[in-house]
Amino acid sequence: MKKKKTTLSVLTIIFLGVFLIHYTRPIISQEKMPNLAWSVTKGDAASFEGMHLNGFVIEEGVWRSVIIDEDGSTYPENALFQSSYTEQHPIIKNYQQRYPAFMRGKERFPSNYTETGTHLFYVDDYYDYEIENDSEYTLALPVAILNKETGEEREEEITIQGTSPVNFAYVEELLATEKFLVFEFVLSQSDKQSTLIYVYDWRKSEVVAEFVKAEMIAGIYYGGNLDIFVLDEENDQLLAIETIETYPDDFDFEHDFTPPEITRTFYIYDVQTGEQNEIVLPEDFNKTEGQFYAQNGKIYLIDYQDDAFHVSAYDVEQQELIQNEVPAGKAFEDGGLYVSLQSNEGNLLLAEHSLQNKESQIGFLLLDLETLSAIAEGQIETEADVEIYIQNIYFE
Amino acid sequence: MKKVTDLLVYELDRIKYGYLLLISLVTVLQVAAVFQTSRIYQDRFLGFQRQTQGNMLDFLETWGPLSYLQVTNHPFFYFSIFLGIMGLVFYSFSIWYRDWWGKNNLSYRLLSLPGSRMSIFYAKFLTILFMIAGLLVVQLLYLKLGNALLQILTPAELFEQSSLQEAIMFNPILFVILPPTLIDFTLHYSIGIAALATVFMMVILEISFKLKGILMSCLMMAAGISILLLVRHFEIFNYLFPTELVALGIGSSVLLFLFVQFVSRKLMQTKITV
Repeated sequence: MKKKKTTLSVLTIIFLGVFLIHYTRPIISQEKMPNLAWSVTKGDAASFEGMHLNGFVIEEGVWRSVIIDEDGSTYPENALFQSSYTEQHPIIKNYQQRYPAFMRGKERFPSNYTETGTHLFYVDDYYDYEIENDSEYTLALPVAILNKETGEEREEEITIQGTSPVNFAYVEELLATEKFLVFEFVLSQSDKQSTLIYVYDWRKSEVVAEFVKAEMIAGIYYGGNLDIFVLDEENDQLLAIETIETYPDDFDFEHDFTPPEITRTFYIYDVQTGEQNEIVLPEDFNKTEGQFYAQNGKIYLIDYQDDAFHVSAYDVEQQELIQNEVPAGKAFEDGGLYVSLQSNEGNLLLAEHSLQNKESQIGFLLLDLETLSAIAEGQIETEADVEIYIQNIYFE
Repeated sequence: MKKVTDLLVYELDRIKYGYLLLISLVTVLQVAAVFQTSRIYQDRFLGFQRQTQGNMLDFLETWGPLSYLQVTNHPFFYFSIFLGIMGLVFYSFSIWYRDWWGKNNLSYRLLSLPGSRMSIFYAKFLTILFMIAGLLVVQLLYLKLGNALLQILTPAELFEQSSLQEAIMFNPILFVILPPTLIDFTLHYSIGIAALATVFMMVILEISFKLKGILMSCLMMAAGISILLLVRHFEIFNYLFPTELVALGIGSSVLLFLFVQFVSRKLMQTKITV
């Protein structure tokens, strides 16, 4: 009996030892997670004050959430308490940490949220698969607005009028300014599926504009590519850019990678009168590459080429075009694979979102939209063999 | 404590040959899975070369390299884990019934032993847990050894190393039995331990009350399922964050275990008969 007890004790110690080693290895390895920080390579560091980059770091196939700010990096999840069941998009995790009460009971898809410096917005999806045989169908999309400063939360509904019973509606993209909430959503009805863009004046709680981006009826797709921007908030003007891609009749979609012919049409939509007027922009704005932005009555096109950002700004009222070439630092030399544009106190933040190895960097640049020049520039780099992906950037 | 240890040693001694047989079968199946996977892959490569006159690079572009992840997808591998699980589930019931239904008077002798009767419960409980732990340790070992064996059997150009984490994340059954993180392990096995204790309680109910015991067990299960359905209906879980849900899962399992312990203790002390 004593021998058997000894054997049992030894086996128990071995089992516990194996489990201990297997599960404490990640905890020990987290202590080696790189400390990431950004450095300002040009201009005043104060320009990036309050900037937080939220994303994740991948090391040897293991993903860890990270928040990078001026003080360095923080890994919100302690490896000891990490769980596969708590994996969420970094943006959602971030909102849950910052605004826990607001986030309860809401969907956990980043496309349902957007924020400005003062408010956080949420538009819910709608699902109803028990279709009734009504000729018209109205659905209400719940909207929640949080005042970040006072903590006050407002809930309302946006009524969508369908022409046939609705299966579901889900939000694909949200954009907010201090006056408007622009959201693109898919509306699936019994006879067609539409991609719609609504502009909602959230201060007055009313829909001020509706656009049909695309429709699919009986399997046939109608529509081009429509993007809506808030051109002039003070004068209630929206910018609509319709992009049509044209391919030759004999184009081989599977093997031919020639870019299509691009035709862009620009419209100014007056929210007050409902008038929509086409405007003609300089030829540069019909380029294939580049990203659009609009603010204070100007339309901007930003394109990265030859180690510089080529910025064009067209003043709609004055009909003036200003262009400038803003040299981009070494950090952008991997081609600016994905550069997001984000407003910060009237300036525009251009930021890369990924770093694949220790030879590359994540670059960011603050652009003065009046002078079209760089206010400050910075980068994140690391000596560790990791990949970094930034999911969102916010100022706080 | 001494009684528990003595009974635990006794229980493990009784099942050791069956347990070793189970481990042997698991070993044979998992080794066979490695050999089969490697053979099928290399046969595919030879067939590819014959049919297309292509080279190794062309083959890798079409089929990708061979890694241990493909072994974990093999039917033999799945069957080996299934065998282990079913063996332990079966023994969770038979560890009691072999004493109570056997022609010997072992159950009478167990209940007559000095000390708390719950020692019998704990000894049997720990026996199952020990067997689970043993199988898990063996599986962890085989994940490492199997990877090494596959590397030996496969040409270097066709082999791709995969980590233990990847193998676990890639296979849903491995994810359940060998969760990737400590919290996942705690969650899965707190639920598993609560479930095992509940099974033991149901067995004791049946032994104590016969048909009435079975009905009581069914009623308890129905009550538990109803509570879960109600919670789901009112979407209570939607208001909790994932970390809170995990904590709730672990907390509920602990509470269930304590409740089951309480009921089992009452039954063992006052109701269970031979």
